[in-house]
Amino acid sequence: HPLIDSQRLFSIAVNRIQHLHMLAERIFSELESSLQIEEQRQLNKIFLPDFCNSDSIISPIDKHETQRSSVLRLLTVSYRLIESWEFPSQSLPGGSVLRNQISPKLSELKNGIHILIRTSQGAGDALVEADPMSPYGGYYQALGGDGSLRKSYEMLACFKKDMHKVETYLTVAKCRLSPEDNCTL
Amino acid sequence: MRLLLVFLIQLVGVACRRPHPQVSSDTHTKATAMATTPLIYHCWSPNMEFFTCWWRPVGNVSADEDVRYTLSYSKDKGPVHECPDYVSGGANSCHFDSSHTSIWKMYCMTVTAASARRNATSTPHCVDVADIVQTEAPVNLSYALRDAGGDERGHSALLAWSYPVPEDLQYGWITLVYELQYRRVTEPGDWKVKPPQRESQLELMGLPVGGYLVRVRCRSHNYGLWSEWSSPLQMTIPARPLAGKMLVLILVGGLGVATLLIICCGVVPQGKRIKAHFLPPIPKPRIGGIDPLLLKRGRLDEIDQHFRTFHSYSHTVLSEEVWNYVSTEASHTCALWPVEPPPISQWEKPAPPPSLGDPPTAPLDATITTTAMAPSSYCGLPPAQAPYMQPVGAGQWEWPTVVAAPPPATADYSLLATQPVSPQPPDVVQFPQPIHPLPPQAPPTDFYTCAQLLGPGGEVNLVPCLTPTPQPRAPGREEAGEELKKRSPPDLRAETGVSAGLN
Repeated sequence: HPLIDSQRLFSIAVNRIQHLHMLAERIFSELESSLQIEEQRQLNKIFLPDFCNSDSIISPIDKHETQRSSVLRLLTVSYRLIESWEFPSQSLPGGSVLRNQISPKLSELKNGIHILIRTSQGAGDALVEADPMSPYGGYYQALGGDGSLRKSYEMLACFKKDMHKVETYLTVAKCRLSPEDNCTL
Repeated sequence: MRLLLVFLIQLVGVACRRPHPQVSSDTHTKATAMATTPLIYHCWSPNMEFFTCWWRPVGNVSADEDVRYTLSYSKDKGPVHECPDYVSGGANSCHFDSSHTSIWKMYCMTVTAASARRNATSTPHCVDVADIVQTEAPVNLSYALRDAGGDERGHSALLAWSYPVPEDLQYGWITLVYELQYRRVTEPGDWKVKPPQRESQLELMGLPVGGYLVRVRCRSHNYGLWSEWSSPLQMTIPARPLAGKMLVLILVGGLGVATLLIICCGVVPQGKRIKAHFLPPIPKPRIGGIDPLLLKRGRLDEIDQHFRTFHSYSHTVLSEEVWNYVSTEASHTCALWPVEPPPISQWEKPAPPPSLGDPPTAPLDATITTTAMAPSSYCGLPPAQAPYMQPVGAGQWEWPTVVAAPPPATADYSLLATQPVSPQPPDVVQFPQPIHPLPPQAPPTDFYTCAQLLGPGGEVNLVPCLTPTPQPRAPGREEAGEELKKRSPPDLRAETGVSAGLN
């Protein structure tokens, strides 16, 4: 039954992204706690936006817009976001143990979302094709070269943000399909 | 219209919410007094839909100075806008409603204090709304006690709470996790923490009796800050009431004790009576008209009184020993032989043969037999017809058991009574009739005949049982009854055998 399969796949996808988000939060807070208090304050307040390479991906930015978006759109956006981190995650700062966990999980999740898109729309992978405008691969390599603290901080902040986005989108999409499932009152 | 309504409701909702009390008023006023520029010190969103920021105003403001604060913000390097709402969040605040709030975008804000004399601008403060989410504290924390059930003792408490703004959780926009802590009232600071959970209820099992404090807080899953603690709940685990099992135990125990008491105090003393009531004793064989106790302890005259009704009963004679005549004839013709009536002289004083082993006690004891052990026994050998006879002289004739006793206690006296007692010629042997005429001097107790020998022709030699020797001894009388009783079975057999043989 396609609906039940879809729900099951959604559950799996939501679990996976929750885990990835939790990892991103952990890495970021580890970095933050390793900073001096003064550095923390500076970084938190002064750094400029528009450093995430995923900024080029249009995505819903509030509850209302997210609720208005179709499941397919949410899935597509999620797919793109995950894809944008699939390779750059290998240059994430932090312990190598975590880093080695993240990249394969991202690939798995990307495939899962792809399956969900296919079951959701049936045919047509046109929306899934990667945006050729964004050279995902090279962006962070260029940044991460000098190993500056600021760059690491920004990269981790971006990663955390994107994981949070995908988690929110997938949770909303899952609730759309099965409203009684821990979604509301 | 509807949007306006929604906006108004949200406005009211926000107005009801307290500003975030992160900074104590003490430091706040102190810092304010010192500040020359305003400072945005706190921004907060309860639901990732709208948020509010507060700043610290400048100090050193004279009374007449009119300072206006302006907050400017920009989203992600976009255009600069002014704060849409300075009121809803209270003084020195800026509230961004849902239409002005974007998630995952960086808001950089500055506050400018402008007065007639000076301008002061705060340093920029940048926030991503997703990072400043702190959910509301849970409310309506309550508990319900339940029996632990099964083999468990004690109670279990089912705790439940709710989130005050359920619409924040709509659509899965925010997924909450709750954390519950509890402690005993008597142990401050020793909070026991339960792991975070998604459900808004929890069962605490196996809590010891006592008072507890419970509190719960919540957080958006994976990000954000923990909410404030809910108002603590006082919970009391009562002592376990008597449950069904205990009642049953008490009942059974009480019954058992009561039964024991009844048995000890009531039944045991009356045991014999109760036993007689429920299990009546089998009546011992009784002789009509004879009281066995009487025989045991009765006096001789009483016994005589009783037995007088029976035929041929002659009461005991407390007299001197009766000496029987012993003939001095050489021939030892036994008085047994029916051929000739034995001369009286052949009667011998009955002496108790030592082989009998019985004390010659009873006056009715006619088994003091004719077996005088003296070689000069009056009982001579029969003619050689009876080769099975024991040779005289070879030893005493010992008839310890052949002789018949007086009729045993169980004998059928009626039988005896019905038979005519008359002396008959000795050739007709009819037990228990006397086989030979009684010698005149024979004592009237010649009623009992004793079978002594079985002749070759099947004839039975009956001997009148000797007169019981009167005994001066008193105790002998008491044993009379016992002797009567004792001798019954073998003697009766001998007698019946005799009669059968004869017939």
